Amino acid sequence: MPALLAETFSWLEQTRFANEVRIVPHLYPVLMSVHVLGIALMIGSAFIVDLRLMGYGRGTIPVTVVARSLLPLSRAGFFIVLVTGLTMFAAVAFTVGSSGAARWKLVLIILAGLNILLFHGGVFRGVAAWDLHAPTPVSAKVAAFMSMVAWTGVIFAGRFLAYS
Amino acid sequence: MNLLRRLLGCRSSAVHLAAAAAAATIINAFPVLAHHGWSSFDTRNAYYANGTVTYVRWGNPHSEVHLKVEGADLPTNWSQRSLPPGADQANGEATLASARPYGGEHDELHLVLAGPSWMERWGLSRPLDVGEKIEIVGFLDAAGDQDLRPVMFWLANGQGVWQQLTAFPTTPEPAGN
Repeated sequence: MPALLAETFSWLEQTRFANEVRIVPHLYPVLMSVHVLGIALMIGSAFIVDLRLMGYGRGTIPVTVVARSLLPLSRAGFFIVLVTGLTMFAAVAFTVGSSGAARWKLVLIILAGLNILLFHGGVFRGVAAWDLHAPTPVSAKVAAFMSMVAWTGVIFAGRFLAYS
Repeated sequence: MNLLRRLLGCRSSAVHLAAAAAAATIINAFPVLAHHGWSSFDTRNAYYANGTVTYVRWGNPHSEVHLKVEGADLPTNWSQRSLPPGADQANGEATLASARPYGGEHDELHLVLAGPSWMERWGLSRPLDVGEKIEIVGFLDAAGDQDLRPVMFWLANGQGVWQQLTAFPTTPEPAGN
């Protein structure tokens, strides 16, 4: 880990805030539980959208209905995950930052974010043409597959923070 | 429109590939610290050391303490030492029997300890303090760096504190004489 980053993480985990997160009884396991709920909300709804893009429910549910109903839930889940995740990170910044899985997790989150930007700025603009009956374009299927792979990877990397 | 979609499809695939390649290159050998379970510790050989606490990061999900090693010879009454409250008898006795002096290169060991609620269950309801003397016996990180995970430790007043919750990957081997 670069020295500046190491110093920043060490400083972060010695802050009063980080100390409270470690010390207040039950706070850490509560944060972990809420983090898991946030993941369920975020990834659960995102994966349903991804499955629809991959063809599941074609002819029954319009892509736009699935996306408009579920993506806001997914974003709410992401917000919950972000807040609880950063709070827990502060408590163990140096240790978790030096885990081999930390870079995987960060890179995969960036990858998943890029995938979202590309999808919404690109193929999704033409959704009217394949909303209900037409097969989804290959690039939309690729984006859905990338989403599922990247977020699955983020979960694994997140869990491996404590083991590698 | 179709062409545009194809182009976008291609572009996004290329970006995906590039990002995946970048991810693969970024991952490198890193000082590895593992905290849960004993899988990344070499549980064949237990090591004993005593010394002074120089750094404490107490709290969840687990505490970290640095120990300045001041002695590593087993105390003379080692074979009579009793297990701390809450100890698993088989694992505790195997660890005591496997204990040998820590002879590693580091003057300071980084100890990975249980979180406060387990610590309390095992009889220690306060954080360790910098400057405090303790004795430890436990296992070194299999990667061979400074991390040691105590199976148990003792305070200056003789109070023993147990630390093991999950199974060892391999049975500790008795130390040769």
